[in-house]
Amino acid sequence: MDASPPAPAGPPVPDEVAATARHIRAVISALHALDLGDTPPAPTYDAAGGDR
Amino acid sequence: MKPCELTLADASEAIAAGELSPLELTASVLERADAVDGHLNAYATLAADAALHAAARAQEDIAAGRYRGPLHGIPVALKDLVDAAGLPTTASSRVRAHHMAATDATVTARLREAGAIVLGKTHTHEFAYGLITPQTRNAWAPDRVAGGSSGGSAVAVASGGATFALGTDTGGSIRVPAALNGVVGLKPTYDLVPRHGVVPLSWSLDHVGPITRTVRDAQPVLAALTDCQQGPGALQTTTAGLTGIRVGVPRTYYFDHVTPEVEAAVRTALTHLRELGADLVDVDIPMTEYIHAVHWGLMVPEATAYHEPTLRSSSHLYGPDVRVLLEAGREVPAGDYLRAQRARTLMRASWGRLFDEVDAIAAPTVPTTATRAGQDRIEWPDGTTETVSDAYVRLSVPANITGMPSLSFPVGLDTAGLPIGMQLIGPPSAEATLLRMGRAYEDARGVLPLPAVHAS
Repeated sequence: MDASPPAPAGPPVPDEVAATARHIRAVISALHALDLGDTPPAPTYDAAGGDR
Repeated sequence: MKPCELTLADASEAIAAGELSPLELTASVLERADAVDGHLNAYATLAADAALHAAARAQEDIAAGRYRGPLHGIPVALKDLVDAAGLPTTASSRVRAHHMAATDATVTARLREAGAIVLGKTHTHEFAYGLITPQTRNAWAPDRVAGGSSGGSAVAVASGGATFALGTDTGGSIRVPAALNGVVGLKPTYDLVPRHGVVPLSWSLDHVGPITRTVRDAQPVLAALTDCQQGPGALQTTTAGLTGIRVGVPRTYYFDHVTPEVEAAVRTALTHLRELGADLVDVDIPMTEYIHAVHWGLMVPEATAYHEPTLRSSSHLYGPDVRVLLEAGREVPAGDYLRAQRARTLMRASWGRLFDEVDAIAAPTVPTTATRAGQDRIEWPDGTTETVSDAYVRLSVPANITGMPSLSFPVGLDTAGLPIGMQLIGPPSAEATLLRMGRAYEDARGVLPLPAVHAS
């Protein structure tokens, strides 16, 4: 059995982090077009009682 | 048929009838795991001696008349995010290479209480932050990905190296590897199964659930995980037909950018559900343009928040893909996180209205079968491309955002001989309905055989 987890191939290049962050923010920015009105946040879900 | 090739239900019946002992079953499963794991690499830790010892105890208890129920003497593999006392929980990461669990996770304790035999810990994509599990190979084709993040658990079950397993699911991580390896995965309703003692990826999206050979097998595991106190019949699914069950067939989203073979297999499975008595109803999936944004808006900052201390102290120990994601997550504004939470409120309400019209929604689990290891992107006929991970997560995520249960089970093979999965999504706490539907399909169409796994 190989109990060794994958070895890191070295530290990430800062540009790669910045590019990934830009991509993530671009995806999430779709929410800016959504009219949320006075909708409250739903932090987690309670099956018995709905949002909490 | 070797004991390791039995389904949980068949093994359980054989044990209850005195035709098979827990020790014979556990030894057979360990032998299979040992034979195939050299090239499949499903296991991070295999605790063979402890498992055999527990099996011997189970055998003594059953012989003495202390039979605990359908999981007594049944071997289980735990995803390596789930604590088991005396074993490391590495999350398949060097960050936790020296970890040792002092106590059982709640789910581990419940399985042991039900008499299950813990075999060991299965590989995950590092910290469950990925859909590939690159260190593990697909049980049907070793040159293909296992899927993830519960890749080790699905491969262990599909190869006969575990009779059942536990996985976790934040964006499809139970259902995706289950579909890619031809086994059954159930993501229960949010919070139905306790997460205490399970390493989180994203608190508000994480679920723990079973991976089994058959739908029939999933029912007793879910009953044990939920500590079902109402007796063995409480989660019992009827095998009656599906007359009166309304199955929603998405007109939007779930059949977009899906391979023709996957779509054909799922639509054929839908006709089988109709033959069993179900009514098929066309439905439109709400808010599809925001699904990706809500998922990332919730998961990315929550994952980074959990890892903040170890990112500061030992970031060099993370694999490069996971480290980049975690560091990039620091750049998500709090306002966007709240926006995703508010959008989740709307999404849950709109999905709730959907279930006024239907009892369940049927859809492909993943848009394509297992891709070749090392393949980064999928190109669709209209010229668009997406990463393999984005493709695998795309159809699973709505059930994580809404907290609704989803059951994935095999509905055939493609022309390359790779498994195709279909999922049934229901309203909160509809697990019994989903299991009833999946069981009816399985009883009518049969169980996918185990793949021809070769000893290494």
